[in-house]
Amino acid sequence: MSCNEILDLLPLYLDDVLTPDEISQVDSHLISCESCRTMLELLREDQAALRSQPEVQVPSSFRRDLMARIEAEERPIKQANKNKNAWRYFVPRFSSLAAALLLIVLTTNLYFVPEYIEQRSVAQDAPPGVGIMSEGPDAQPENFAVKGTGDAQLTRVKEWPQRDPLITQAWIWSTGLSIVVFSGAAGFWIYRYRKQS
Amino acid sequence: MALTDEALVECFLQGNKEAFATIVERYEQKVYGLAYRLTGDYDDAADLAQDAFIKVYRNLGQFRGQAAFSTWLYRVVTNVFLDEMRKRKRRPVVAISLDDSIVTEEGELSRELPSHDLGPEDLSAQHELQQTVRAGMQKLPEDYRVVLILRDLQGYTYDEIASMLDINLGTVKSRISRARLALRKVLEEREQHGADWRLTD
Repeated sequence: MSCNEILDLLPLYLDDVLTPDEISQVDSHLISCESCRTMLELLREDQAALRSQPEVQVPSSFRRDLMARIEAEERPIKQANKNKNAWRYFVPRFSSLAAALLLIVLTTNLYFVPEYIEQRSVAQDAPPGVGIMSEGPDAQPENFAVKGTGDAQLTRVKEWPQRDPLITQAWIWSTGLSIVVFSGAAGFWIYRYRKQS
Repeated sequence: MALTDEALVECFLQGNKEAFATIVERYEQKVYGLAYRLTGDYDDAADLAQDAFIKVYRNLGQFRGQAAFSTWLYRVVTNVFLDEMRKRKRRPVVAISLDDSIVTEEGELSRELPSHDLGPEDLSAQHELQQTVRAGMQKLPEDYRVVLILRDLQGYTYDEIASMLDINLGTVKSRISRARLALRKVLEEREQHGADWRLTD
């Protein structure tokens, strides 16, 4: 083997990672070649110098700086995630609930509206003695009781249109129930969301 | 009783952030030492060590205990270093010649560098050799420097180095061989040029 080939093997010879075959080749070359022996010695010295490098001391502020950097990097991400999560969490829930409740309120109100219209038409066919003002001062249809003739004295009788009390109750209950269900669900979701994050 | 590294990692993954501080406390000295060997500069070493720990913080979930935690950690450090070197090569730092003077309103100033050389009385023979080798290491290509550091300073076996760097055993062998010979060449040049060859620490 030539010196050049041996040269490539010398560093590995130093680390003892050559095959037995290669080791014997290097050994026999070293016996006869002084320059390669010198080279091996120099490589050994380099390695020893490398291994005996003194420890360097980590700066005293290293950990504090590192933890502060991590903290600083985490904060905006966490906040952004939190906001985004809250948006994603509440919007579908609240909007579907609101839609459902709106539907219930509107449906129950449908019973109330024809009743209201009917009430007005009945009032217009009122018997004599009762005056009708289709539009009152506050833009509401009102009934007036007429007493005597001549200077008619008008006493304002403000009346709620007569409705089936059952329907009125149904309307009040459904609206109240909607509010209760809505705030109950909102409270529950906020509680769940807080617990999660 | 102190927790094992793996237990600390598990703690951290279950949400205990304090566990990470303990990991840092345990390894900062070693990681910083390795970073200093790689970069050859105290400030660069601090930056590299911090970047590496931050990478570890983000990717701790990927540590599956297939190797010792310390091996995985040092692997992250060397990879962050090599990535950074590649980035720097793509957009090289603008070089400023020391021969160009700085023009100011009051006239021209010549550029000066602070000297890091120690006085001759501080240099024992042993110290001088160590310093020479350290300076020589910084003249080697990064690939060579990394394998020599992992082998001689960290004491890893060829197999461990192969798995840390994701290269095969044959490549490790040829790289270490070339690295040692390249270091020898650098040091020989220094011996020939003697005092002209300034240590750049």
